[in-house]
Amino acid sequence: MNKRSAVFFVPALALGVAVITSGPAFAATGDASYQGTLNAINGSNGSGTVSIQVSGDQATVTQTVSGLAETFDGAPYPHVQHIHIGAKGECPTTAADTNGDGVVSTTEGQPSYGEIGTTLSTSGDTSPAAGTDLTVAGMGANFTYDRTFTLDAATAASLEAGTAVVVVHGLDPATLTKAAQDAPSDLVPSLPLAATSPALCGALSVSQANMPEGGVQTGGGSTGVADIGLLALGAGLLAAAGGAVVIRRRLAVRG
Amino acid sequence: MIIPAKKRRRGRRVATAAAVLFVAAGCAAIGFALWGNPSPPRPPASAAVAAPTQEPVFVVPSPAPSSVPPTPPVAPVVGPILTASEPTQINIPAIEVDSVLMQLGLNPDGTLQTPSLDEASPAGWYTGSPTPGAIGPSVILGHVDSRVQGRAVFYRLGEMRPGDEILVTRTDATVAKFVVDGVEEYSKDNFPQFTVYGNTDHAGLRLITCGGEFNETTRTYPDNVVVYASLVSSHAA
Repeated sequence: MNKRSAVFFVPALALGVAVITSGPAFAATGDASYQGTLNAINGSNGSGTVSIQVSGDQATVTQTVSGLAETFDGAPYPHVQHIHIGAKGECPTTAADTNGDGVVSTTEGQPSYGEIGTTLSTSGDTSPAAGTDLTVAGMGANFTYDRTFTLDAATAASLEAGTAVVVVHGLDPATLTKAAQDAPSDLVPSLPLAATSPALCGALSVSQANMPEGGVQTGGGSTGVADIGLLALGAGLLAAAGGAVVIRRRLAVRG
Repeated sequence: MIIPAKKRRRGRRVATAAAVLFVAAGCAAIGFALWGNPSPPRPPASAAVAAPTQEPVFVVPSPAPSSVPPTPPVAPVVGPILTASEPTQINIPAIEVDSVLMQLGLNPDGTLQTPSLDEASPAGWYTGSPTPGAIGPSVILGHVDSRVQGRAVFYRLGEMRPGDEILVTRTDATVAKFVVDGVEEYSKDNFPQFTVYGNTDHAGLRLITCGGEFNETTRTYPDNVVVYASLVSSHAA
């Protein structure tokens, strides 16, 4: 009840205060943000999302991946992943499989997404040199990746130009043809073709909205709960009714 | 003490009447306490998001603002698009909402700012999202309830259904008219950021409030209700 009366005089004041206290978001947050949806390639059946927040020369990459090949030689499958740059800024179609082995290899996809600009490694070097280091790859079928690192000029330029593409590599060999299963990697001949071939691909574009974290705290809780004051009043009235009954009885007995 | 029989009879009648009255009033008070303050409405599980049904329209970029950064891969745009202009007012006839709009940014932890809970706050537009009518996911949020004001501006958001209209007045004196595509309820722990805030091929609007069963211990709601809408037309304010 007191909340009802309070409502009438605060709105104008509340509005004024609220507008002043909520600062402009763009001024405070970062120089640019990019996003991409990671789609399955080479029949990996995986999926994912990636967003990149660039602030000065620092990039924060937030990525979620699921449904990829889970194990490799009994250990979590290492999925090397990169920001590819400097080509069309697209993901390849099956038409890119120029040798016809049923797999678009990393090399075959390069006319679409280009060379490695940044390695999305879990620690240490993020340059192209770390591109096939399996020890800093994303591990297993499902993983999240959240890392802030210094962005190199070439990758930054490609992001701005709209030609940056995130590629996650590593296929389940069992899904490939026999010939492709036996073929060596086009990048690291000591590894099988499946290990380095693209599994997910997503072109990055400028985010229309600067993506907030998680859900929104838009409730203080006042509805959907019992009003304690009213409950007490009700109980008091029932007690009074009991008292009235007692008085009535007394009067009846005496009569 | 001896009370005359006549007075006693009247006394009994008065006591009876008082008992009946107290029982009725007491039950009414308890009933209202328990059921007179219902939880906010929630969308049915089936009110799924339907893809916008407009035919693809290839919009020729307007030559005017040169400050807009070039976005090289030109994606097809669906439906009408307005130039950017900040929103000032939201009107939703279906759930009797008529609110001015404040401006909201991000908290230091990257979550969306919300209006004050201690005052009767209006709904707010997230300034990090496109202005309503521009391409992309424009975000407007409001409280479902608050300790001070009880039911808040978006209390009935969960009642909205596909086809309902949302009118947003902008500083350029245009009113952008949106139509609801779908209403969803998501757990805050598993909030689909890309679905709600991700890039779109149309001028989209997302209205957000809290949902689910209020947790008395943490004083928070576990869910968010999200209304998805698309721009259909605009007219002078």
